[in-house]
Amino acid sequence: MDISFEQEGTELVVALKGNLDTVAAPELESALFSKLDGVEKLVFDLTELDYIASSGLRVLLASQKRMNRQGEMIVRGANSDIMDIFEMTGFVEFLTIE
Amino acid sequence: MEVEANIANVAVLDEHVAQALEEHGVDHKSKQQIKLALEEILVNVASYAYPEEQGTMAVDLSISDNVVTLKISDNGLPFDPSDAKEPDIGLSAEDRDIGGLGVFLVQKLMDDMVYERVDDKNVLTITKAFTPESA
Repeated sequence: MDISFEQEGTELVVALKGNLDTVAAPELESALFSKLDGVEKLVFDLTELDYIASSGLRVLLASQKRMNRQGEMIVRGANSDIMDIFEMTGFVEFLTIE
Repeated sequence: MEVEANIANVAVLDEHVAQALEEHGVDHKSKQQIKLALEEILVNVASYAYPEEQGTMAVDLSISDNVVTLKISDNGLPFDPSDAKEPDIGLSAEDRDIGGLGVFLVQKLMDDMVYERVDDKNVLTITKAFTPESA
């Protein structure tokens, strides 16, 4: 999976490309969490993400918990397969999806 | 096919299975769902079956009458994933537990999941009906 970050002030956009699987999820978590100090708005851009496994969902949940304490989090661009997974697992209940 | 029960082998398994599914004209959505189920099962076996040593996991794939059947077996500790506690998906992010989603997803995405303990092996059989893509 490719991970890219773009920061403007207190807004951080993380764009994911490829498969957020069990191998990629810990890499994402450690890269992302090292950048979250002072971030008030975190945006996950999933436009080019093909696939998410439960390990990837765990990173989204951990990020949501963290951002609940310091600002807001938005998820955008999820494809229909990934949206199905968000619905199936109840993630639609707490994620802010654009 | 048999691989070491290690999460690093997610891609190896996926490639092997994806190719067979492709050849049989399995639709994209079913392919993605089978990929996910297989990954979650590998993660479980890698996490729980072999606490003391490295072990293997075997995957036997068959496709007939537009139904994919995957039989996944290991020689590890007895582990019935259908006993796993179902996550409460109605909770807020704060109250959600990190974990427990893997088996839940397998059960949701597949049509059937059956666990058996046979000859000191864990054997998990999952099935998924698909709509063939036109050639």
